[in-house]
Amino acid sequence: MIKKRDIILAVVLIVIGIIMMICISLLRKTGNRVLVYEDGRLISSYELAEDGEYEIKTSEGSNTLIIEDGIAYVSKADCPDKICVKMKAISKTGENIVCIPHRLVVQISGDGQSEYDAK
Amino acid sequence: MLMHEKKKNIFAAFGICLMIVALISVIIVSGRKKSGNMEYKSTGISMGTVLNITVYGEHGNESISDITSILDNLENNVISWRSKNSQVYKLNNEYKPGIPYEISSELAGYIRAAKELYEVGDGMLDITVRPLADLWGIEDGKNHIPDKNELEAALAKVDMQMLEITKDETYHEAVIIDDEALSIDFGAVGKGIAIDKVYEYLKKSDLKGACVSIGGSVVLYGEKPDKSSYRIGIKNPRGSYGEVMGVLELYAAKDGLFISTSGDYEKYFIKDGVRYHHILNPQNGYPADEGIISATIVCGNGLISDGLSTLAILLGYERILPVLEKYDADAVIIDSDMNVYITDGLTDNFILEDETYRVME
Repeated sequence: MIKKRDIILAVVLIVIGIIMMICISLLRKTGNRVLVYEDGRLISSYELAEDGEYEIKTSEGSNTLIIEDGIAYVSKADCPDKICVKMKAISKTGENIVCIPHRLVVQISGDGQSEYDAK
Repeated sequence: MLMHEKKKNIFAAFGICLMIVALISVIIVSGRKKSGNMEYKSTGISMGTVLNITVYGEHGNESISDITSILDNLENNVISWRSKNSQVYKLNNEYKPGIPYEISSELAGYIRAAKELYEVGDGMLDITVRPLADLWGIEDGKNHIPDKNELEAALAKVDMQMLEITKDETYHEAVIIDDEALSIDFGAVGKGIAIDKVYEYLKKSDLKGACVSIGGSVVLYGEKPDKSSYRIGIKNPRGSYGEVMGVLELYAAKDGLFISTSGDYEKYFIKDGVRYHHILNPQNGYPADEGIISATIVCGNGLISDGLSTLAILLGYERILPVLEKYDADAVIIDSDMNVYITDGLTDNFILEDETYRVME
């Protein structure tokens, strides 16, 4: 015997369930991460939302990665060309900073779409 | 009894709710996974520059590692002038003047194509320009402004006309170089050769689409899962690294589309207010000074797109136009007054993003 009240209860529970699910999926998408690769190998990963200064050591040398206010950039490096230091700070999915002499790639990963397929 | 039944009903309702929620979750998660699984991306370093690979289709990770090893192999075993195991390195160090030196048909093909661009481009695109590049040292940061004597000495070692491809007596491909000081450097077309190689691989694969860029050269293949266009950013030649001045929205189909950009902003130094960049004029020995700061070429072949982008900087706007026509190529060319010239085939594909540039009608 299903009464009207039961149906109301069921609807309420479904609504709660859906709300919870949305919350969970939103929480899971906590935002972008900063991934650091050496020679294609992931060597470290940080939250873009969490400020910090990190010394990235590779077999070729070291680069200083700064994450602040939702952007990431390389502030210092002992590579010969320093192009990684001159590169624009990154924050959007797919953007990256590359240090060719150190074979280092710093990349933003997230659920968003890349703005460009190539450049 | 009544209470008991009510409780039972509540449990039943709760159970149903849980099941519905679980079902919805499964649908959402699997849907996301499916669309996520189609796209595979990688950013790495190959041929001394940045290699970006995006492929659409199954077995994407295998494709990424295949493409990476194809390019590493091309660089290390065929076209690098630095790598001791490469065919070009051996040729540069082993040939004797005037005597046919046997080379692979692959290398012969590249040299032939480069020679054609040399002839079409009034001798301005010369793959024997290495001694000149070494003298200036712009790539390795030596940044030396040579004097007249130094330039003359280097220019004496630069001459593509001294180089001829023939078949030797056993009908193998061979190169004859009539000068003992020459050396081949595929710098101006190497990334183009690379994307041609990648395209050969893509064509045979079961991938639905791909966008592979190495340095300033990009190959587009097939289509994206959502059928949208590929968006290729053109770097801002007077902005900071990684900044974009405009976008080309392009569709590729299975024939592949090749896009290469060269400019005076890639490798350069500034001394006393003068910009010295890495694209050197093989006739006077100085960096090209034809008023073009960036040239993007779109056509059906990688080596051609790469070669023509360098040639555009060397020849200037007026002189590159007939060459573009000959190869059925389109271009986005930026001059030093920040004017942007777009050939007819691309006017509908280009979107200006940086208002400091002016699109010329």
